[in-house]
Amino acid sequence: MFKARMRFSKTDEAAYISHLDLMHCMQRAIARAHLPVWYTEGFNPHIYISVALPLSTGYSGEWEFVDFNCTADEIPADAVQRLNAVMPSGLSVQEIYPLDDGGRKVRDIAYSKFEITWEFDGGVPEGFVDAANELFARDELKILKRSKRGEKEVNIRDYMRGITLEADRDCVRAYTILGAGNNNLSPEYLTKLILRELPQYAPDGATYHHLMVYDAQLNEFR
Amino acid sequence: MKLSRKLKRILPRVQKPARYVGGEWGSVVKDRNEVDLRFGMCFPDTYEVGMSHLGSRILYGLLNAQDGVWCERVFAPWIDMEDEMRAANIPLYGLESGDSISELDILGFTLQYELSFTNILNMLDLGGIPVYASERKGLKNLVVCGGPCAYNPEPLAPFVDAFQIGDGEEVMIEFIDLYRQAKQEGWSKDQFLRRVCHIDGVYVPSLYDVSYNDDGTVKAVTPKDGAPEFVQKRIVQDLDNMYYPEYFVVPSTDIVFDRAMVELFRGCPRGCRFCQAGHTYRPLRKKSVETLLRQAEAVLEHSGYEEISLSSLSTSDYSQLPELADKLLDFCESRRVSLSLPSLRADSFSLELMERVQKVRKSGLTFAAEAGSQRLRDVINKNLTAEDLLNACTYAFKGGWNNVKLYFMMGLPTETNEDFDEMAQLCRDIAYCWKCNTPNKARGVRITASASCFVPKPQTPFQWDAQVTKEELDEKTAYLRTVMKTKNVTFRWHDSDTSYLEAVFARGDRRTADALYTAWKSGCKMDGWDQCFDYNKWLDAFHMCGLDPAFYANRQRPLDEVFPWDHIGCGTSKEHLKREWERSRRAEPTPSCLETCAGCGAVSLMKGCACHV
Ligand code: SF4
Repeated sequence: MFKARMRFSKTDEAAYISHLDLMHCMQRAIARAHLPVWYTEGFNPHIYISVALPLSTGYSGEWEFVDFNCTADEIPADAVQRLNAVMPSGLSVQEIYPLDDGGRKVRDIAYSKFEITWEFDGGVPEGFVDAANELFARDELKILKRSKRGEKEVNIRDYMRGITLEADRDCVRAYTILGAGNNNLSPEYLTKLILRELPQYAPDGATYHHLMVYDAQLNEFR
Repeated sequence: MKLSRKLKRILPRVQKPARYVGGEWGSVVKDRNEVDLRFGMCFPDTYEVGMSHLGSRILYGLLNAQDGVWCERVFAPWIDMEDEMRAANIPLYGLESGDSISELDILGFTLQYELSFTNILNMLDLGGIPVYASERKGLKNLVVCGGPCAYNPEPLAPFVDAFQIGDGEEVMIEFIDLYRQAKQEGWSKDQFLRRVCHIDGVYVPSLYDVSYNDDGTVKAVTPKDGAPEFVQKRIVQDLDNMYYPEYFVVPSTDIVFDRAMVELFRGCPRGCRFCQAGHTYRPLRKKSVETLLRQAEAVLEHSGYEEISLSSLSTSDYSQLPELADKLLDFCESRRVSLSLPSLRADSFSLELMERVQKVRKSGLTFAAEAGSQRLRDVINKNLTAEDLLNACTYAFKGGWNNVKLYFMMGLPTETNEDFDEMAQLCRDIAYCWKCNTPNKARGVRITASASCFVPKPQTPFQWDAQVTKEELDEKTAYLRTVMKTKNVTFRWHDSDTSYLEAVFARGDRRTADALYTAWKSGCKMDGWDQCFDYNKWLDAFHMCGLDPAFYANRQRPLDEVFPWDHIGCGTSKEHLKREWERSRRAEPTPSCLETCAGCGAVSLMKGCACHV
């Protein structure tokens, strides 16, 4: 038996599957695909899996991970195909690979890349992109950050590794690298900042898409 | 379904958004341009409740198995979602296409309980569809209802175009075939209704006039335009060859019963006199062990579910249960699937089986005793003695179980305080039985006695009986609380307001539809949910419509009264129900169908075949 990792995307309808529900979805999909996986012992055996860095409900993402234990000598060559044939809409597996020597540890994840879409139903207002660029270029962007230990005032810039904006017809997309894991910063704070600092440009809606995760040296994590 | 920007914007703000987006494994998506009939399988309650309903799953599979037919699921959004949808101008939509339900040809509602009736109106309204049948002029958006409450369809009569009475599998296909013909040939809605009422088991309420006596009771129900005088329910005679879905929609979010299910048999041999299902699912028909194993395997294989349950009204009465259980358990163990067996009786075989099946959950053992004394159990024909119960408890306690739940009803016909004294005694006896038999006194025992209010249901032997008034019920509860004072016994009782409303609509006539409409207009919905139920709004609604709810709920009806549902057949004859009522007043039990046929009449619906489980 060895540890294996599945990299998958969670988009469209599946963006609304909560973390706990996602575990069930994956377990059932694995059962449908008859993959050789390890079940927990005991009275209520179930497929053992663990989901790294769960996405907030409503976010989509394309660099997500589930770890499990494979009981065969190697991962079946058609495992990805078999799984994708039985997935709910919006969940799709990209690769499954063994974690030699335990693989990269989930706790090594330090950054996430997000695509934030700010929607403007009447078209992107003139001046917004410049104003936003100016805003995010400031050295100090204080916000009240909520965590399990309560609220704390922090400087967003300490959590950000760059941001670029791209304007479309009725939306602006921001690509940004933000702290993840222990140093997590929700991309929603960027939207909040716009609402606070640039209320004249308040977008009609915002969506969040998780693109990539990195370690502390900004190497892609997989 | 494709999620619109508008919808995506509100989803993050509502509780459990996964229930509003579809896309689950097993959901069926077809090309809307390649079907000629679009059907909405509507369940007038939340996703979690509706997705747990086996009947809807069967019909969903059946309809989608037809070429050219696309069946979608529609549920009532929870109030937070409804508010957001109304504010954003998003109509109620089918979970497969995301299209407004107003684009669907037929909307089929499942009627599981009376307290979901307002949700039907609310769902239609959310879809931008007029709630009154008379205001829906075209063939499109035809509203059809089926399910247990269709055995008294009258409170919904003005809202519904047609009811399907009884087993849906066959009548549904005949119904949609005629609809497709109507659509193709451009019939008017009237033309269609006048034709469809001749399909056996279809009731078109607009083709019947109801007249009333001075005292408010029904005088006569008169068919017009050639509609049949009596609509007998439909049954599927051969369950082995009946359609059964080989796949289930597997929800991506938690629901009430999240597991695979197979149905053992239809009908119940017991004939408890308060039980509507027991009298309306007859005659008795079963599936063979081979069929069940094949269907269980198919459903598990396709769904990936980790649990399967056997569904029936009385699982212990399935004659080949030992054989089935053995084979199923072998199969389940090899797949690491757990088996759950609801509706078992208090006999030793069932307990042994339960022990084999639920190795882990030694906590919960439930018995539906229904009444506290033998006399009252004879009145209601609940074939269970104190001795049976104590034997079962002895066995269970010896085996280490330490949690027993007992279900009782309050307000049963002929009930007195003496019956409650005996109920308390029974609980004491069970507590004592635990003391004598448990291997581990230190762990303690939990005995819970829950009492709910009896609701007289149409098409049962107790359809003539009055529900006790709120005042009487309060007295009964107060008395029970004084006698149910045994250590280790917790007594719980249900609030009576919802039972009162249930009683009104269970045996209501067409006039109660006004109150339903008025209550809904004043904001009543999700009445089955405590946090939404507003009793006073309902009382106001009855008052505004000049209706006395007590007339429907609390009146002892004479044996010769014409009932609003007398023209709807449930298989069991009214003569049999009357006989059963008379026996009940003599506290005379009627043997189970497994011993002898009581002549309920339902077997006449089967051609050349007898009742069997
Ligand atoms: S016909 Fe006889 S055996 Fe069949 S359900 Fe009725 S009473 Fe029972």
